[in-house]
Amino acid sequence: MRTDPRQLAENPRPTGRAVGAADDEVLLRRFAGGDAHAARVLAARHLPRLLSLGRRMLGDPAEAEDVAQEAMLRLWRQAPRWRAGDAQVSTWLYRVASNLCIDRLRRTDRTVAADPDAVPEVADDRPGPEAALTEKARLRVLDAALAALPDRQRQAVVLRHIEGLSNPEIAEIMEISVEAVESLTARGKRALARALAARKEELGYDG
Amino acid sequence: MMAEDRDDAEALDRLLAPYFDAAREDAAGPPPRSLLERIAEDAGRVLDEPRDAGAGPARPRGRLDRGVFAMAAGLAAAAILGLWIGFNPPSAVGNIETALLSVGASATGTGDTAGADEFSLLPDIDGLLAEG
Repeated sequence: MRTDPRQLAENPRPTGRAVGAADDEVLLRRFAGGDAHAARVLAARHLPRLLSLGRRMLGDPAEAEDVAQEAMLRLWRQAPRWRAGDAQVSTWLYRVASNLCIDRLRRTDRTVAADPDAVPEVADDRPGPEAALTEKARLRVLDAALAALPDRQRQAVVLRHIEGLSNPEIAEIMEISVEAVESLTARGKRALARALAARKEELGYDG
Repeated sequence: MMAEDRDDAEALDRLLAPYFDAAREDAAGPPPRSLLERIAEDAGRVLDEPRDAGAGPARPRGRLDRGVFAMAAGLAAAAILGLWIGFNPPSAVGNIETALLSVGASATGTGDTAGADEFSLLPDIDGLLAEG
């Protein structure tokens, strides 16, 4: 039986089955059993976080999409062999996506600007000297500062403070100890703070 | 010292919190439709793959594996050789009857077959019949 991808992408509801509330492993088992809609639900559930991770890690939305797509493809291929209790689907996806990001960074041998002054100037789009900058401008500054971090520090900081994962979860994703995660995030945050402190007023934060 | 470290960490968190909040809000949007379609296409393709393909790379179809090919070639060569021997027996085995019915065994182990016993490979039918 040929599966129509357009139907899979567009049909938001399963036929006769309610999978919206089901947990990830149930969805994955359903997918492995031929339920194409389960893939759509899983993708909609996990893509935003995978894209966010990819964008922060790679600094390029198009590459982030490629990484997210590849991570999901690996999940589809893994589905028939998935063993309940081995790992959470979300943790597994984060690990695959993180490794894909690191691979891309190493393959292209990207260098990042370690100098905090390399953070780009932000444009104040409001009149008046007291005008706060937009969220977008703050994001651009944060992204530039993140880009200046070493890969592993950036990965740990993004997973901890933007994705909101716990240290043990990050340790599992990065395949390092919890202590190593704490060390990476602490060093990353200090470096970020150095890059951002000078711009605190400029960016409209007074706290 | 511990208290200073904690204060430093809290000050860092206060400084960075607004940036992280902005990043989290930025990540909350829905994924692009085109990406969802690409992913759905991938999922459909994986479902359409043969079940035994498993999670590994697709096995090339319509080709003999190298091992099977080598075995088939070996069998073919052996068959041709067998046919050739059948039609053109080499002189060493030209006398098939001699080759099959008797084997010369060296009695001394020196290769000198002068004193070797000769024995038949076929059972002694007459003897067996005589024994009943």
